[in-house]
Amino acid sequence: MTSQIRSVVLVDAVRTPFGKAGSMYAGTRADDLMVRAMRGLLERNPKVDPASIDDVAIAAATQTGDQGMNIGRSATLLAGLPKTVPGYSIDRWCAGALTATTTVAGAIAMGAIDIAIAGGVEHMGNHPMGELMDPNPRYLAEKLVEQDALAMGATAERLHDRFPHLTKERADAYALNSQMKTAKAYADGKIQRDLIPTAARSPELGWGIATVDEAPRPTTTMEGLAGLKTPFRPAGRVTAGNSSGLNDGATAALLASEDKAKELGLTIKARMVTFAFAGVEPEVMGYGPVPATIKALEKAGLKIDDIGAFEVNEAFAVQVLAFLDHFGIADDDPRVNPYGGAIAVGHPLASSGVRLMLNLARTFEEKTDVRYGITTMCIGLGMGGTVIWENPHFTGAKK
Amino acid sequence: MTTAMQLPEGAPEEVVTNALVRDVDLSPFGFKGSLALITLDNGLDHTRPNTFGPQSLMALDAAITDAASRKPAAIAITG
Repeated sequence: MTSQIRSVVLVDAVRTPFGKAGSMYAGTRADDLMVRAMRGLLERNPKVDPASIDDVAIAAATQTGDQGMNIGRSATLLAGLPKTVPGYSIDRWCAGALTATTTVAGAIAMGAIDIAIAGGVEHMGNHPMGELMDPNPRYLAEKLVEQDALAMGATAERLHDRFPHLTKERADAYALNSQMKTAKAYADGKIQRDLIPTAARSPELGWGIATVDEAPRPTTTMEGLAGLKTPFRPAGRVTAGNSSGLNDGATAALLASEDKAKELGLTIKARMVTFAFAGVEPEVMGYGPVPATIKALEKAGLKIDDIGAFEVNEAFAVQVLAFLDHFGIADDDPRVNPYGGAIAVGHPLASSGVRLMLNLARTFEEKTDVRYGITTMCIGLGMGGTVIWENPHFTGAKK
Repeated sequence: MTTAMQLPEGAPEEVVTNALVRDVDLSPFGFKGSLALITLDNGLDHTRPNTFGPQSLMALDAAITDAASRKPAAIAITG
C-alpha cells in the first residue's frame, strides 16, 4: 500500500482564560486546567465520539509535578476520555502547542490517524520559567551560547541592539496597540467566545469561575509604559509593559483529516498548508519567526504578499517588530493580531500556539477575502515556528 | 438566629468546615444576575472530607444567610 498525503484541517480550538502566574489559578492544578480545555473542546463538538480520537498531544515547557507524568496521557485519562485513547507529551518551549499541532498534523497527513487533540498548558505560578533547569556547563565554558541566551528578556534586549531602529518608543507603541486591540475585542465579545469557563479556587474566597483573562491592562498609556523599569539591563528597553507576562493557562485544538471532518459533519475552521521551524542564534531567539516564515512560504510556494492574516506571538514587542520590519509590514498593520496578543492576554508558554490558531480561525470567518494566514512564534534557545493556513471560507480576493 | 453550641465534655475537637460565599456573574453563561456560590472548606483540601460539627453548621447557616441577602439568582453549595 502506498501512503498518500491527506489534507489536514483545524476543526475547533479553545482555551481557558489566562491568569497571572500564581494569581487566579494559584489554587488550581496545571493538569486540571488542561482537562478543562479538553472537556470544553469536546463539549463544543458533540459530533466527535471521544472514542474516535486517535491520539492526544499535549505540550508543557516544564514537564514535572502537575505538568509531568506524561501530561498528554494523564490529561486524557483525567478528562474522562476512554482509556483506549492514547496520549503523549511534547516540548518545544513556547512553541509546544504549535508543535503538538504540527506533529499530529503530520500523522494525519500520512494517514496514520484521522482525528486528534493537540494542546498545551503552562502554570507558570506552579512552575516558574527555568525551574529545575540544569544547563550543561559546556554552554558557557565553550561559548556555545552567551549568558544572555538563557534569559529571554536579555535576548529581547539583544534584538534591540541588533536593530537599533527598533526603538523602545516603537516597542511601547506596539504594546499599547496590543492592549487597545484586546480591549476592543473584549468589548465586541470576540475573545470570550473561545474561552472555556474554568473553576478556580481561592483559599480566601472559595471556588469561583474564571470567564475572562486576568492580565489585560486596558488603561495602559504611553506615559505609563515609558516609566517602567528595564529589569534585564540598566537603561534597557525591554519592560514588563512591552513584554508578555508570566501566566497560567491551557489550550486545546481538534485536528482531523479533511475527509474525516466532512464525513462527521464537523466545522472546518482552517486548512493547514504547511509549516516550518528554523533555528537562529540563541542570543536573539526572537528573530526565529523570520527564517521560519521564509522557509514555510518557500515550501508552500507562496509570497509574503499572499498572506492576509497574521497571528504573531507577542513574547516581546521588539521581536514582533523585527518580524514585521523584515517583511516590510507596518507596526500597526490591521492584518496583524487584530484581537491583540500575548502582551495583553498573556503567554502561558507551551499553550500559546493554539491561542494563535483560534484567533486566526476567527479572522478567517470574518474576512472571507483572505485566503492565507499564518501563525508564528519565537522559541527559546533560538528558534521560530510558522504554520501557514488556508481559509476555508475564502470567497475571492477583494477587487 | 443562631446560638453558640458547645461540644459535649470529652468530645474530640471539631475540625471546622468553613463556608465561604462568593458572587459569580452569570452573564457569560447567558443568564441575568449572579450566583451566590458557597464553598465548604476545612482547609485540608482533598486529604480530609468536610464534616459538620456545631461550629461548621453555624458557619454554613451564616453563609446561607449572607448568600440570600445578596439577592442572587441562585445559591449553590460546593466543596
